[in-house]
Amino acid sequence: MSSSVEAITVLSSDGDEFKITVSAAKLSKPLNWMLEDVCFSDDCDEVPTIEVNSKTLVKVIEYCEKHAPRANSGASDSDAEELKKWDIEFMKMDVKDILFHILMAANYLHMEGLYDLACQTAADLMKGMTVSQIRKIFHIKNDFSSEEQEQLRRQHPGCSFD
Amino acid sequence: MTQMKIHRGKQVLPKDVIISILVRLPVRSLIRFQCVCKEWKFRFRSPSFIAEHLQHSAHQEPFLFFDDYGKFEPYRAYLLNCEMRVVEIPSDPYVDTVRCVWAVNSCNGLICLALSTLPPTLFLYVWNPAIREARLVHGGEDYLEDENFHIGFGFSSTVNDYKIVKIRDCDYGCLVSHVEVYSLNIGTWKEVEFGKLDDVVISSDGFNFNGAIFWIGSKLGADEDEDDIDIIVSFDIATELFTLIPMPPLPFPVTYGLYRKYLTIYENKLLCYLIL
Repeated sequence: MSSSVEAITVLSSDGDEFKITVSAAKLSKPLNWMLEDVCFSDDCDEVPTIEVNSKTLVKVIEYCEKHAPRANSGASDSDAEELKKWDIEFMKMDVKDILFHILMAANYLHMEGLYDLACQTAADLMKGMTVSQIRKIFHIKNDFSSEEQEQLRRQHPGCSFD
Repeated sequence: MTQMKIHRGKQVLPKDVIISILVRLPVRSLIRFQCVCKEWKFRFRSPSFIAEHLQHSAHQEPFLFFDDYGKFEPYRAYLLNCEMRVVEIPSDPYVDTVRCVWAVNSCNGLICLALSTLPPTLFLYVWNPAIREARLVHGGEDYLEDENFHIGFGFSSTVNDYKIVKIRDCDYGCLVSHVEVYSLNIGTWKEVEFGKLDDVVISSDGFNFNGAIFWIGSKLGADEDEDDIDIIVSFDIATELFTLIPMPPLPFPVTYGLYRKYLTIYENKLLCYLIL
């Protein structure tokens, strides 16, 4: 890898260009491999495409840039505390609109920290939802027969199918 | 790579991603969401899901479990949470009706309950208060008034199984006469070798930690002139082998037998303490 560049340009699946610093890109395994394989320099005109839409990629890059200094050098406890607070603010987003896309992007880009954070955020949001809201959000049909529902209700008084 | 699939014009998360979210839900939510669809209901009960869920929940929301020990009243069990609040576990109907119940041990939210009725008969249950399910694992073993059971319950991540060990004293001299092990995965009891326990007296119920079960005991002296030696008996849940561990030397002289010994965990190590 060339050490002459500090940032690289990538394309989103919508075709928009984004800049990401090399240290931030290293948070993603596939991007890191790409950095090792491809020679990036100022006169290199190869722009890799990341199969993530622009709206999601903006958020992913924001996360990487924030977490890169700590991932690369380690940090004090107070930094870790600050980063935790930042994560909570960062994750305040709509489940369907963007959170699921972030989940998919973190999965695709092999970003363990972001994937874990997004999964936990989704789980925390689900806790307050009803069964029918869950079905709607995951596009699941209620396939219990009325007898099976009755049996579950007997076993777990108070459980609801709505 | 897995991509979001399009289902009737809607984007659907791939199954492995959905599972990654579900394993991070608390048990209370999983109980509610088993009503979402059959697949979820069965998945929440699959060993792989349970193992993964355990990995995520093991270090969250730890509780201290305690109960009314062996009272001849309706059985009560409680949890003490991190905020030092006491929560009573709602009893299951059968637990309310029985006479003398005691909790052998708890492990990953499962509780092994022993109950004895008169004439002396032993029953063992594995109780999951979170999903209100109990499994009778040992139904009615008669024993003599002067016989004892030393029961242990624990989990091994190596074999991903819970096991119950039942050590029975013989009626003479409290020596171990019979050892049986129950596997929650297989669902049956079997006898195991206990050659190392030949001259050992066990004096506690089992304490589980790190894939093993520990009991406090003493090894009898070879003849009358030789003192008995305090020991810890350990049972490896994966290999089903017993090991005798010598007790650490006491920091001050104590008359033998004038104290009770207990096991617990301190800073991720097994700790033995005495109460005089």
